[in-house]
Amino acid sequence: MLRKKSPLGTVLLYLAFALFVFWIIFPFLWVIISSFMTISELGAVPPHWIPERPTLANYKSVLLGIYEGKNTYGTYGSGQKAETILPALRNSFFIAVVVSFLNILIGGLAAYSISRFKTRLNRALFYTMITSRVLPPIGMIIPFFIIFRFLKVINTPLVLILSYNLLVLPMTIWLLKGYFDNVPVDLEEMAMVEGLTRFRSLILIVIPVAIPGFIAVFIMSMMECWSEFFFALVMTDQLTLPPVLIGFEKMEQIQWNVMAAATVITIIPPVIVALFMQKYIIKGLTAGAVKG
Amino acid sequence: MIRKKYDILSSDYRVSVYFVIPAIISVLAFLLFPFVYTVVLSLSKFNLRDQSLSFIGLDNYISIFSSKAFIHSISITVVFALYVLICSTAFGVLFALLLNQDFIGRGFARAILIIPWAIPWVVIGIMWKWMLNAQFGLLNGLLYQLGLIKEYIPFLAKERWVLFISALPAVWRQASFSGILLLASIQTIPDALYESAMIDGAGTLRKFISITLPWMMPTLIVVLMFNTLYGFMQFDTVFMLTKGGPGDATEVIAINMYRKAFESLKLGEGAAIGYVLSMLCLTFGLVFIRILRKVEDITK
Amino acid sequence: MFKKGIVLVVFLLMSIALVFAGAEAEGTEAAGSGEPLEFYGWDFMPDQIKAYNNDFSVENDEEVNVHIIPNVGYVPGLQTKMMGGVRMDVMYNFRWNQLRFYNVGWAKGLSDFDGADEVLNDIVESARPAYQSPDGELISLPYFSAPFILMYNPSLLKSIGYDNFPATKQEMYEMCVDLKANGVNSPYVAYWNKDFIDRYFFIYLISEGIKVFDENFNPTFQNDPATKEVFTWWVNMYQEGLTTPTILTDGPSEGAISIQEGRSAFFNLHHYFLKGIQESDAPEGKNVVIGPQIPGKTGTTLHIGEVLQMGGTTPDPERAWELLKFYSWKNAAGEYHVPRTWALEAGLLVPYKGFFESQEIQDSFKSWIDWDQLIEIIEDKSKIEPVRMQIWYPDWRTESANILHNMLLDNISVDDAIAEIADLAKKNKSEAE
Repeated sequence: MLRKKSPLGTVLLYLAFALFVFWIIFPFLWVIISSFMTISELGAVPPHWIPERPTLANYKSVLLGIYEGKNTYGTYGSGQKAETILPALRNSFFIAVVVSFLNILIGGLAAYSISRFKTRLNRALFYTMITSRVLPPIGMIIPFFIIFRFLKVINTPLVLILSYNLLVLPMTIWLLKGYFDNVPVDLEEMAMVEGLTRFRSLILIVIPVAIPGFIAVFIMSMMECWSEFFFALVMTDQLTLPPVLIGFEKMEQIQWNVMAAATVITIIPPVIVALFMQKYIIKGLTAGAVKG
Repeated sequence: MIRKKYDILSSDYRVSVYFVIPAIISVLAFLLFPFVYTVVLSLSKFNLRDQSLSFIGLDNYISIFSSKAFIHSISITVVFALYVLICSTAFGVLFALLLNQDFIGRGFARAILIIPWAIPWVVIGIMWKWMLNAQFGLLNGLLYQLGLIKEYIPFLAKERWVLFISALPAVWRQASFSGILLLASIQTIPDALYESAMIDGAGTLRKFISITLPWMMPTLIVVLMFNTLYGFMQFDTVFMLTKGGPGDATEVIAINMYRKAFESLKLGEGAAIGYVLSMLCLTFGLVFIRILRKVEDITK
Repeated sequence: MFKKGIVLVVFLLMSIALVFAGAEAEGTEAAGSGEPLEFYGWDFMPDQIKAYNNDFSVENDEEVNVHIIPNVGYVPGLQTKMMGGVRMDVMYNFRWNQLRFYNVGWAKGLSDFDGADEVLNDIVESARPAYQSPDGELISLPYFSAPFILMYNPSLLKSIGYDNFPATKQEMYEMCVDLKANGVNSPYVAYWNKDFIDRYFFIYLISEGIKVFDENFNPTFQNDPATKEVFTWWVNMYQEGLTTPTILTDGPSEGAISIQEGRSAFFNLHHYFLKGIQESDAPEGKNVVIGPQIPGKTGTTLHIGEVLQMGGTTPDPERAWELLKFYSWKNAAGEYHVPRTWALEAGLLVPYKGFFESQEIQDSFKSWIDWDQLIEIIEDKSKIEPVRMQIWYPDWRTESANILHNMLLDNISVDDAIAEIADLAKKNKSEAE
């Protein structure tokens, strides 16, 4: 933006930036710090901002299945190796990406139609989608379980792909409809006057303009999948990260530091995706700039 | 806006239907049976032995509304949801405005906006619980070491404040959600608009009210609706933070529903509570949308 | 349009019919020996759980699929799967849930199985009712058991001039007041959140010899004048800040941290937490020891534990029984194979007589707890409250927790609280009949 900023404006801006970073990072700070701690330091007052006896033991436990030191558990009897969170990490990633792509595809088509064609069917569809989000999950979980058992997909990634599609699609359609609403119809009509079909004008004209929206929706849908807990709990045996993470909260032991290490690992892929994607948003904006 | 009446045979209409068919199959086909099931469940007694349903009409609804605990949880949930949706939306707008500006480290800021969103609700609950801990929590530690407080504050023990505090983890996550969406929406605002406003001599506030706000209004409505949804439906963070206590200060409907369905095993009543919650959520959501639509019309 | 409407209505009607037909179709699995056994447990030492099941498979030429459900979502997860018709052969369960599972057919009665009598006789007599239905049917076997003990830090007490363990609640109260004045900011720690406060309701009353419920599970505590004294003490402990301020919402790990850091002197929880505290390398960890009883006239404490049950609809009850016996009790060679590792690794106990005789286990325990003291508490100073297994108990527990919280927060008087809790118990009990 070509705007001269006043010095006061700049100061306020960076102050706001600092506060923002604090708001996001601070609750998470404890997770990071304690992931490098042993249990002995967890309860120190005042808190050890930098662990006095830092350790990588927690990371070794969750990534490599190696347990060391006291107050941990090793295997006994059959000499089996302890499991790591890597399989869950892989599954979470796979499922999140697949669902997000499906969402953009299915949701994008539907949202375009709903935005451009105000038919009764579309309106009914739209409002049904939205209200589906408020239905009580507790009542619905049993019939869902039955359906998926019938389809023989329980405890496979497919059950979560199908379920999450269900959960996230309403949101996707709603958002994308909003974006398509903002894309002026003139662009397509001009293209159609010049002989393009509706479908081709969608692909060549509308989509490039709405890319920021698509990216936001992709990220958003990825995050929903990444963090969903209840369906994963009931339909699978700790197939994805959330049930694995929550498994560290035990009745018999304090495992906060190990859970912290697992949580840190959990947010790394989304943050990498976000870092990558947000550059894309800017590129999309400057390259295919909205025609004025 | 002219509403076109579509000729069923027109190719436009056919295209419109084709485009939505995948969505219909993905969502509605899967939802129909569970939806019917849950409605029937809320009107029945669930027999645990063989999972069959015996129709009992409105008895479930009558018994939940005669429970003092449930009535109380309604008011708790409404207040809680208001905290969540007001704070999340407001913060979301602020974040979007901030991250739309040009400054060093903007890329980093945008990347970390994601973090709360990627963490499962239950883990957010546990994280905040440890952060707010009255003995060794990081927040207390910071405030104490900065000299701002003389004694550690037991955040979760203060009956008056605990409901607001228990809303904060949800706000933490939802503000990021709102921020991402609002940011994406205001990024499509053409520079030309701002430039012409500047030429007209408009100040920052004026630009916000007449350009930015109306432009993000559609997204704002969506954001508000979702924040309302998450506010009313919230279970995980509150449960991990306080389990509904102290006393029943944070006993939101979702926790009530959980206890009914899984501890008392009265699934019929659980489903009924679920529907009351849904209705509550929808009503509030629609009211807000009405209000915002009016505002949208005015600012147009 | 009309045609579409008809299709929709037909579909709707079919759905409703399906709903009423019930989920019976999915309930029965293709039965048969040869199918692997399905084991369900919660997320404590999952690799150990898998190792045990593997040991069993090797020993018996069997196959077992192990399913781990996180603790936090265990009950919803397990019950939903059960209702969805999944096969379960052996599963962990909470003691408050076991009777209900048996009553609705989700867990099988065990009395008629081969060797059930032998296992039952090996259970310490005072603990037997915890695994039986009111009609005496064996409905579960022990997973682990644990008495609630009062751990304390004698060196902290000594530093302010107290050489003894408090004999009464009043004495402990006075010690706490002094401790607090001397910088120990949360002298007494327990676990009073809504899911757990019921344990302390019992512990505080039975340690004064008060009879809480009678043989028919009618409340009797409200008739004993000592109850009011106990509750008044309880309110004072909270109101005067002699506990952690967030004791009404905290979890157990926060309490453990408090005492191992020296911010508390008394910690009232399951015995095995002491192992973690002793081994934590925290400043005061090694100074915490087991107290001889709960301060009070009789000093009796609550003995709790969680259980293993057999799935009610398992098509292979005989094979499941073998797995259940192996996992709770002994392997083919007559060794307490599974309980032994739980004891060595986590300090968990099982209430089997033979188990207590193992020298290896005794030595391992002695490294972190006074074994003789522990045995004395288990044998003479602890009891099980059968009322906690009744099917109306969860409802009563949830609502009485509210009443107790309100009492501690000084929103209602002690007398009102006592009356309300008693009335609630009568109401819940009669509704269940």
